[in-house]
Parts: sequence; C-alpha cells; structure tokens
Amino acid sequence: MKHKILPFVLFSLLLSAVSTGLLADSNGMDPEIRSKAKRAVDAGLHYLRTHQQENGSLSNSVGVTALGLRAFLQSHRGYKESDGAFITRPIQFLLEHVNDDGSISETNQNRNYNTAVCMTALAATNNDRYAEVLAGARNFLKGLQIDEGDGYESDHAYYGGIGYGGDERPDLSNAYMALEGLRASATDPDDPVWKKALIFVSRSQNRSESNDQEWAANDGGFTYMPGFSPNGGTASYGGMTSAGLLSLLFAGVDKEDPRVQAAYDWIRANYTLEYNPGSEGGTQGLYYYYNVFAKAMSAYGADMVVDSDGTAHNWRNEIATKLMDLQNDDGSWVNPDSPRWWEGNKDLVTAWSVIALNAAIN
Amino acid sequence: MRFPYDLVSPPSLHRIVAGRIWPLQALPRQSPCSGTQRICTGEARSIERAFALPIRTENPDNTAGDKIRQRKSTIWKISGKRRIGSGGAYREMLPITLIFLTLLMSKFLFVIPEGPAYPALSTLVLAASTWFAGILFLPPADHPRQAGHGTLAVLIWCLKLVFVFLALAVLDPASRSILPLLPRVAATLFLLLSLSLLLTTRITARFTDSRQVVAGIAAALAALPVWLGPLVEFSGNAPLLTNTLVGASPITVFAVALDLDYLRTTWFYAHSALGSLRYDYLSWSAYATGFVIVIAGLVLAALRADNRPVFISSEKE
Repeated sequence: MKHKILPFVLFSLLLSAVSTGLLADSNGMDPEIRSKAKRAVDAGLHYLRTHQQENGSLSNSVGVTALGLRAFLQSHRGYKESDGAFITRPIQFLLEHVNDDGSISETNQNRNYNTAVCMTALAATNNDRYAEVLAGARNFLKGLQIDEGDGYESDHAYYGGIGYGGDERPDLSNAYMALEGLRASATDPDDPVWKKALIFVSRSQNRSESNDQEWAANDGGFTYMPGFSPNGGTASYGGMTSAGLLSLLFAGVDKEDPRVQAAYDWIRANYTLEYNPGSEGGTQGLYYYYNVFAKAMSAYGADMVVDSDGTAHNWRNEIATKLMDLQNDDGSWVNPDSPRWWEGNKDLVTAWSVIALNAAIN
Repeated sequence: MRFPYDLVSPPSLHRIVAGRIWPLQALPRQSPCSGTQRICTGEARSIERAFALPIRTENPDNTAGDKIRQRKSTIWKISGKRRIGSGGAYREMLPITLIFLTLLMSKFLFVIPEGPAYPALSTLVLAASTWFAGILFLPPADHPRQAGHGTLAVLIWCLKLVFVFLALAVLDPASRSILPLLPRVAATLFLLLSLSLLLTTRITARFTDSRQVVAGIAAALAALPVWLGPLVEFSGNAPLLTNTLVGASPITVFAVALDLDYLRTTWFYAHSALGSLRYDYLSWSAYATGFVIVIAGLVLAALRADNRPVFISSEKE
C-alpha cells in the first residue's frame, strides 16, 4: 500500500511545482508575458546595438550611451565586457568623457544626469577598474549638492537638492538620478549626502506632516521641486512620485516610513499605465514614468498593487504588456506625442524601456 | 503726384545712416540729379543732408508716414529729446532707468529667483539690458571713418557695466562668484553692442530711425526661446532647429559667457519648452570668433562701398 501511495504523492508534488512555475514566476510575473518581454528586450537591445556609432556612443551623448549600456548589462542576457565591443566601446566612450572635476559628461549641461547614469552603468559592470572614476564622480555629485558650502542653511527650500549642474536650481528628477548613481557606486550609508538629500526629497512631497513648506498639500505625491510643478502649481504627478519613492528608499528610509507609505498610497490611488498620471495631457514624460515606476515598484518589493478601487494589479505583467504594445517594429520605442525630456530620441526611450522591462523581468 | 524713384547703386554706408536713404528714394522732380549722372560720395552726402527733413515732410505719398514720424518725434520731445542719444540730461538717465526697471521687473517676475543661479541670472539680466539700452541710446557711427568714436562709446558703455557690477559685488557678496567671468561678459557686451550698432547703420532703408528697428529685432531674438519654444516642441525631435533657436538668442550668448544654463533656471523652465528638450550651447570662443568675423566683414564692406563712386538715377521727365 505504502509503495502505491508514494509515487502518487511524488507525482502530485511534481505536477503542482511545474504548474505553479508555469502560472507564475518567482517574482509573480506571468511566464508567458515574461517570455514575450524577454523577446521585446532582445529586440530593443538589437536596436540599440545597431544604432551604436563608430565611437561606441548612442546619439553622441554620454547620458544616452550610459543608459544603453545599463540596458545591456542588466538584461536577462547578463552581458559582460567579455561579450564584445558592443559593451566595451560604450564604456570607452564614457571613460573618454571623464573630466578633471570628476564629472562624466560631454557638455556643461546635464552634467549631473550624465555623471549619475554613467555611475550606474559603470557600477553595473562590476569591474573594479572603474573604482577611481566612480570615486571622482561621487565627489562631483556630492559637490553639486546644495548645502552650507553654497551659502544655504538647512531651512532653505533648496537645501540638499541637486540640479542639472549648470548653476541652476535643484529638482527632484536630478536628485533621484544622483541618488541612484551614488547608491549604485556603494556610497557610504552614513555619508551626510543622504541626510541632506532626504531633507530636499521630503520638501518635494505633498505631505505637510513631513514637509515644512507652506504650499505642501496632503496627497502624498511628489512635485518636481519645492514649490513648482511643470503641470501647474505644486501638483503631484506620476513620474515624480515614483522618483520620490525611489529617492526615499535610496536614502535608506524604511519601507514602513509614513513618507514612503504616503507616496505608495498616491501611486495606488492614481494607478495607471495608460498615461503619466497628473502630467499635462498625460503624454509628457511618459517613458520616464514607465522607467521610474518599474524601478520604484521593484525597489519597493510589491508584486501586486491594489488601487483605490480595490483592484489588484500585477504591475510587472501590466507594464511589460504595455511596453510591448508600444514597441515599434524595429525594436525601438519613442514618444510620438511629446519630445519633452528627450522623449523624441529613440535611443534614449529604447534604453529607458529596456531598463523598465529589465526591472519587471528580473 | 508720384515722385520718381531714384535708384542708388551700390548702397553705401553713409547713405543709409539713420534712415537717410529714405529721402533719396523720394527725391523731388526738381532734384539736381536729373537723368543719370555720376557724382562723388561727398556730393551724395551733401544732397542727403540738403534734402533730409524738408523732403520727408513735403512728400505727399508719405503723409501717413510723416504723421507717424511726427508722433514719434513728439514722444521723444516729451522724453526731453528730439532724437535719442544726442545729448542732454536724459541721455544718461534714460538708459539707467531702463536697466534699473528691467532688473526690477526681472526680480518681480521671478526671472531672478533666490537660489544658486541668483548671481549669474542677475548679471545676465544686467548685461542684456545694458546691451539693449546701448542699442537704443548709443549714437551709431555715422561713417566707418568715425568708427573709432563709436568704438570708444561702446567701450565706455562696457566699462560702465563693469563698474555697476563691481558696485553690486561690493554690496552683495554672492555676486563675487561672477567676478572671474566678468571680463568675458564685458567682452561679449562689447562685441554684441558693436555688431548691433553696425547693423543699425546698415540694416534699414525704410525707417527714419534704424535703432528702433534693430532694437525690435534684438528684443525678438532675445525672447526667441520663449515665443518660439512651442514651435520646436510641436515640430518633434529636431535638434538642428532647437540649437539654431537657442543659439540665435543674444541672451544665450551672455549666458554662455556666464557658464549659465539659463534655459533650465526656474522661470525659463516654466515658460519655455526648450529647457526640457535636447540642445547644446555653442562655446563662448565660437561665438566670439563669429562676432569678430561678422563685425570685420561689415566694416570692410562699408569701407569698400564708401570708396566706390555712386550712381543716382531718376526717371526722365
């Protein structure tokens, strides 16, 4: 009797394991969608590879090249430098643009963005050879942070913020990118840069309990910078709220912290992948939103997002499906409705989309 | 009665100074230049001087234009002068008032907000308004040979800017961070102002005071990134168009001299789509070289034209 039951039990266990594996992956993603998403990533990477220029760059831009490189390195293919010139040449292009001040940029504009995304890409190589470059870049980004050294006390709205790097005002988008670069390059968690950044990030949130600015509302979402939103007033919107959530987590804030929870609640209440919620027309910064939303959800660690109507969303499945729908035949992505924030640039938008898919798949 | 049109070829600098070509275009029948005859440049100049204002008022085809000119004249009379830049107490006061008001307005409209860009933005507005005031109030050289006087006036203008800035730097320690860039800003002002004043003498054949035309063009160019920003946005991803638009604005030139990414400062970011698009500024040396070449070209062309004989033709009776 015992011998008759044992094979049946073993067969049942095997069957349930296989069926579970088929229905949902370890991260909760539908295996079929995951498989298709991987193919979409491959097509996107193929597009990026064929559009690499002689010098290894994408669009002759350090920032776009770094994002493309990151898309390769963090893809399910697990590309490494040993895989060939399509990885080493972009790295070389980035290294050629390391400046004396530690920044990595081909231009005086966007020095923060460029340096930050380069740090993330170079850190993704896991190659110690770039430690010195990363250290220089880290110091550069820390130098950009607005603090006492620039004549600002901690009660100023700009304190702790980081801007484009052209002597102008800080904003949350630049700050989040910088924090991502600092985090990727293993910056000491006790470094004052995090604490200062946290002050700025908190001041960009519409949460009066943790934001001492007069304009602060209480929806929990984030605006572009203290006191200003490109969508009018100080309105919260999707791209910045995900960036704010991500910034809080990068700065070491606990997932259960009320600021994180307020941001997550805003995302739940405004959950959609049809447009960038809260943005003008919904089309501006759409792929920026997809990119930062996927990274934020991945970092937050929620497989399912329950919106305010009580509907549960598997964000991985949904963002992968959405991005696959939007992918062009040549494997690229582009925002046809708004070129703002460079979303008319196929190289950039493709890199962003692949990184978003990587966040969903991995 | 329509007066014959006298064609002047080739156009020479001294004839288009301050719009004086206009009376030549409408010489009366009793013009001493009947038929086609060759005259020397000195003669042409004396003809212009002789016919300048009386012909304008007597020209029946230009009654409306005369009224406008008279109205403008009245405006300038109210401000204490018949023609701007020709002396008097208001000569000094008007540009200073204009610059001061521009700074005040910029502050009021948050073009210069509190923040890390404050000193650079203040200097940008100061330099740009000084340039604009220079176009309106500095007398353009009437002749290339008088260019030395014009250059001196422009130099004095630039030195005034430097002086004002140094005074500001004493009052506001934050402005001191700009001091190393001040020579570059002053040089930019000198080049832009020289070019603008040269264009003032060259550009117009139809207006009585070409400075107003140049000032209008200058204002339109300066505001280019704001009023044409939506066009670039709706045209999609067109880096060449974006860069041309950004590069053509004189404000960009001053911003480049100041190492300031002004399109991403709060006010411009909120009012122009360009801040969120891809663009690249030219380097300051590229701008400076370009200006020097254009200025040299204009001066040489003017001198060359001035040395050539002038032909004035008119319809036969």
